[in-house]
Amino acid sequence: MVSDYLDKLVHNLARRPEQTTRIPLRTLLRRFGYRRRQPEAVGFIKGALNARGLAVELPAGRSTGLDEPVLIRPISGSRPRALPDAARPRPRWMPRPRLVMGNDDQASDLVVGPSVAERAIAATVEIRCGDGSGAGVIIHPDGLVLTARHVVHDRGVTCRDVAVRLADGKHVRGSVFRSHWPVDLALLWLDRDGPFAFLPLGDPRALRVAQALIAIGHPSEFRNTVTTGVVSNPRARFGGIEYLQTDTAIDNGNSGGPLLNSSGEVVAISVWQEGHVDSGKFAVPVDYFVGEIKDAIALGRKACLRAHYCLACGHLEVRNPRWYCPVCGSQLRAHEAGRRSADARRSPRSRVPRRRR
Amino acid sequence: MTVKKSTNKKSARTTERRVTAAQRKLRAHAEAQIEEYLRGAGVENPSELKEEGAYILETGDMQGFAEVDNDDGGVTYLVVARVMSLPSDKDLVVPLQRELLELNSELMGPARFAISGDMVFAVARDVVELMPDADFGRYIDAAFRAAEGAMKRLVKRYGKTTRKRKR
Repeated sequence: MVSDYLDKLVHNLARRPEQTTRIPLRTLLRRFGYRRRQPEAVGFIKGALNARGLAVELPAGRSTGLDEPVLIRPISGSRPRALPDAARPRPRWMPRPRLVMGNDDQASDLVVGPSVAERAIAATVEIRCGDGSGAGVIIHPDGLVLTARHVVHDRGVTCRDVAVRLADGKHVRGSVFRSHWPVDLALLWLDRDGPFAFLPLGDPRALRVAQALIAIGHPSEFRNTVTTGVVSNPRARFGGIEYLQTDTAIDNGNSGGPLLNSSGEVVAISVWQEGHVDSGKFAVPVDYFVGEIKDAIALGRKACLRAHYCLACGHLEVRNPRWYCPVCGSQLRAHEAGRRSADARRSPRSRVPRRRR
Repeated sequence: MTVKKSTNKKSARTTERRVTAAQRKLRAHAEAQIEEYLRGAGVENPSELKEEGAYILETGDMQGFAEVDNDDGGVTYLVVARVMSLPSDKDLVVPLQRELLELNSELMGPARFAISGDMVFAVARDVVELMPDADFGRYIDAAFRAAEGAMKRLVKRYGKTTRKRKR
């Protein structure tokens, strides 16, 4: 975990007479979950160290070797500090590096700073499936994307293959491997090696009424649009599901996109809105899918895509190679990439208009 | 006397065109009956509802379609009304499937419940050649009525999740 590494670093520095140390750049990047030097990696590492009263002198220019040591020292006038126990991330949550807003302006529970939004845009993608499109958010540097199930759903089946457009305009393929109805969430892996810009997950249970939120999506083909609002009701219950109700502007194209708190953490995924009611926008809290996300990261991309995935109910059968889904009984096919199931082709076509949010 | 098999390609093509023409005539007749029913139901221009060969039907919360198509059994008439999505929770899917089978045994009329992909539908289907004219509208009524009647009960019981938020 990044926080454990930072604690050890602070502890080691405090014991040194000069309170400085040199670490190979490659090692530093790896500790923070990055395989290459990227602008967002450098910014993130600097921010994380600043929060502990440390500064890092990264060599400028692209010609710097990854094995070159970088100097870590206390910020002048301050001492390296460990997090107090009350502020430590509790082990019940995922070991995600926190997006530290040490230098952000006006970041508070009531206002979301512009740098939070800029980093979030870099991790938000556009997903196209069939005739419709929506948004998704990358939550792991290897390319794990969280989105809404109805975004990757077309004509009665969940799509196995989708087209993904990254924030920088590049197009990649994505493979859906998990989905759930009626929670309306889905997970997919990007078919390309990372690392990708990603966002950490936050704790939706810590949200309070009137807390600031931002939503990112592609409403009506306007790409990478940021809207802001507040929490209207953190536990709006419909059909047995606790939604996050907000007045953040969410329109067609926002579906599957992230709702972020003021710290830039993903707390919910936008799914639906109630007619023209301004405060009637609803998002599914991410803690409904924590188990699946942890399993996906533990399994890894290749193992997830090799396993049998049921397009009907979203179950992923990893261990037992059965020919049917143990949850809903649908026939499983090992290689669904690029094809819908034959049943879907023979079956009555679903003419239900897609709910594009 | 032996009968020579015709090797005349032109006569073979003529036979094929004749079969296809009969099917086209049946299809046109079926679509005329559908449009007449829809006009009676208040739709001013039923041909505007047509999309990719099927009439898209929406009434209140109900959505579905009616189409006439060619397949191995000849020209068939199919009406589909959507009921709900298949839940992803194991402890809800199996009881739902059981209840759908039981409902099928109780239903009067041509409609039956079906699962296709991840959707539950009410479906009515028959061969056009065997259908009296009044049945085209009756099948639409039957499918949508079955879907509407079951929808509220099934969605209330199986349209939720047993999944909880993780701490």
